[in-house]
Amino acid sequence: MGRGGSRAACAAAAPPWHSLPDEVWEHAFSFLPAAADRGAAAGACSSWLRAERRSRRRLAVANCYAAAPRDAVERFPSVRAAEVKGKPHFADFGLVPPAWGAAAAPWIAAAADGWPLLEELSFKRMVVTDECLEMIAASFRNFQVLRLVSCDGFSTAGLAAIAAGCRHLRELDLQENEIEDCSIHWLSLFPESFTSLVTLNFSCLEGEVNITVLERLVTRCHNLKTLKLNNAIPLDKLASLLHKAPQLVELGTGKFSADYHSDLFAKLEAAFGGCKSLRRLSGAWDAVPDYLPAFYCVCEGLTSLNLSYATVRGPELIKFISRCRNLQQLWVMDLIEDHGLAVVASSCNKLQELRVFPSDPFGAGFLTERGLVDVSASCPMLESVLYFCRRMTNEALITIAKNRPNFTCFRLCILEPHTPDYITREPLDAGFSAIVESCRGLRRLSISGLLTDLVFKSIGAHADRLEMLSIAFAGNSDLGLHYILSGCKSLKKLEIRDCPFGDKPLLANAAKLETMRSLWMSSCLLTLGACRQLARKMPRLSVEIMNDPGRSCPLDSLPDETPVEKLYVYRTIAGPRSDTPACVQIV
Amino acid sequence: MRGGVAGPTAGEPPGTEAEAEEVEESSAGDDEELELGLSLGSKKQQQQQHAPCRILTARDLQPAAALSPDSSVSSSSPAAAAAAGGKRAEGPTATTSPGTVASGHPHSSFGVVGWPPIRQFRMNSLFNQAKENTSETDTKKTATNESDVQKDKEEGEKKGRVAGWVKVNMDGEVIGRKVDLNAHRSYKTLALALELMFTKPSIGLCASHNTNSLKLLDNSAEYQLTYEDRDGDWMLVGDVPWEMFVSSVKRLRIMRTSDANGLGQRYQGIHRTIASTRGRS
Repeated sequence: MGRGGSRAACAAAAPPWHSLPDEVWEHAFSFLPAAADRGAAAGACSSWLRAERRSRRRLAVANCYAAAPRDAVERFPSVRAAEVKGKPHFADFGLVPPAWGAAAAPWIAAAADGWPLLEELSFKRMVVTDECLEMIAASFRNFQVLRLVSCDGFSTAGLAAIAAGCRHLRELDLQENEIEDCSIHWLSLFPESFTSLVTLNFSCLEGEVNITVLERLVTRCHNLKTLKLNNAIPLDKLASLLHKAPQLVELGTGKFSADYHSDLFAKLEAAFGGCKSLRRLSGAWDAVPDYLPAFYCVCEGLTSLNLSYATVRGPELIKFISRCRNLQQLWVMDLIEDHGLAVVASSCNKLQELRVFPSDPFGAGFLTERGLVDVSASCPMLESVLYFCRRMTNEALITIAKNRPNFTCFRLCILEPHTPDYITREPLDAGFSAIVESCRGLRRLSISGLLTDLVFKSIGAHADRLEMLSIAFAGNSDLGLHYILSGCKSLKKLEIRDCPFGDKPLLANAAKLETMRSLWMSSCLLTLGACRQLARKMPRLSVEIMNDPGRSCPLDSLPDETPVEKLYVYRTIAGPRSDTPACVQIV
Repeated sequence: MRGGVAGPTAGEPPGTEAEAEEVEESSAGDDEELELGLSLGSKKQQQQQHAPCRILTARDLQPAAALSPDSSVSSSSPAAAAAAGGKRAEGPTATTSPGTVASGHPHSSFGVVGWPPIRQFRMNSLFNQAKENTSETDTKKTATNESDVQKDKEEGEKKGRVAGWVKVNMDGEVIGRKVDLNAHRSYKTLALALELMFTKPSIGLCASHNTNSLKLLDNSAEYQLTYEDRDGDWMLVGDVPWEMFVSSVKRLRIMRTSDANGLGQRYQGIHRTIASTRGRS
């Protein structure tokens, strides 16, 4: 600005574009959809910053406590789509106290005041109450999309408010939520004139739904593309629904078990035969093998298959998957076994993402490293893996790294902590080091098994684009954490549990934490004194500690040597939150 | 350094206790294993699908036999440290032990809380699938003749999904369960079913075989069965007639007796806060 002014004085005329009104810049910014591009452009000058803020249509808040809801709404007044995430990722595994927080109500209240034209709202790992849903239904006149992932706190009463009040709803997407069923027939509250639905997903709902009402809804919503049913829909009704909505692109079947009857099979087969556009298939809970052939006619067109809740094994499963030659995404249980993955490797060479979940997390395993090696060798486009197994070797990991240097996401969970290379009995350092050295584009990594600090030296030095790292039962000294925090230039989220990492590396790399979104450490070697120092040193970080509810007492009365069981550090411009439960204390 | 110094000191007493408890646990484990082996054997004869349940339970016993709920971390620490020391000559044992000892969080009978990293939603789904089969068997066992079996099944099917199924959580357990109250006719069978569901050797320590079915209802046992009624209050199971209980229960919780006695009021307070947040008050 100064330079511009000086130049203007000398030249006696400002450049022509300098006097353009803000409306022009706002229009120009509408051609920059990518958040990173907008962010970069907004840094050019204050005019562009104002223009970017005023014209922004989509807002993603990765941590609901990083900013105050009302500040976010005020800063970005034209938002039409908002996404807010709440609890730490480890809440999925029961490590975060249930009452930790992440209430959606403040965000909805702020949006109701400042974003009356809001069309889309997504919440993940947040507490959404029925009142929240009622507020949504009453506040936004053109509300179209509601996505709730891993949320809790609401019931079918809240869904009833959404169904009755959101006249332009296009997407109702409920994924892995805990929903209380209070016997309200919420589907019947969609008005008879309502026809705009494109996505309907209630797969996580436990109660029954009125099939007749659902059939009528499906019939009149001609643009319905995604339908994901819950386990209460019997197979014969599934066939009826498919007959009424043959245009579906994505289907979640719900339960897929019933006593075998040839006429029911024929009905299912005919129904699937009519689904010419089907691309994504999920569900098949508790699948009965005899019914899998009903899917055969849609196999060729499938690009995504999620059988991770299908407890079916053996030749029927493998025969089914081998027909899906265009698969890009496959989620499955370890019941597929190594030879099943070998078939996947030979049949599905367009595979981009593979996830294999354990069917019995505490029992004998069905899967070894062989399956993953085969897939990595034969699927040239594979770039994302989540794999649970019982054994692994460095040699296998090195082979996998050589086979697939294009991994962006590599998550390996060896089910028993501290499991070494089962052949050499050595730590798996060499294997994971090969992964990070070979896969230069790696953005997400989860490591497990027996590991020393050496693996962290490799990760810190080579994983320059790594954004999210999960560590469990690994390392042998503070050096491990130091390697990570002093390297990993792009790190945003770090999750650590049960590792012998202490105070020193945390304090020595405090500035790094401010460049990150969040850090979780539980069952490590941290003390309250270090947390106090960290909080003093970095005032823009929120330093939360959690201990057993029975042991909580005023922080001031505790000595510095007090061990900290769970630590969650995140950057925030909103200051300390005011809704901490008894088990959470902010230092 | 301070943590390191404090670690060994704090670690010693728990280690001693852990060793003593380990001896007791192993004998208790034997008893439990025999009992469960018998019942699971009978289940296996009826349906092959029970294999997952059997494997799960068998695995369940193994870590539990070696670890006590309260000091499982300490008892596992020496073994883990020794193993680590053996495999990593350069690794200082002292560094590892304090880290493990420092964590005081409760352990579930499956070992480490939150491990393996599988979403609770998925875990609950897996258990619900397994349990649906178990529940059918329980219903059959409750009845004494075919007509009763038929009757129970019909009743269960009519009401089960709406009124009969309630959530059950146990302190220290990450994974909740569901139980069909319509499959039971008295507190005794409910308590027995829950004990089978949440098998813990430490419970066996408090009672002999003859009184197993009463341990969840016994005030002197380590765990107390409580429930939330329709008004949102937490009550002890057994205080009101069965029919009244079934008509008002919303969810169940197997609470540590010490918590139930000393912190009952506090828990109610916390829960009310949660309830009001959820908007059900």
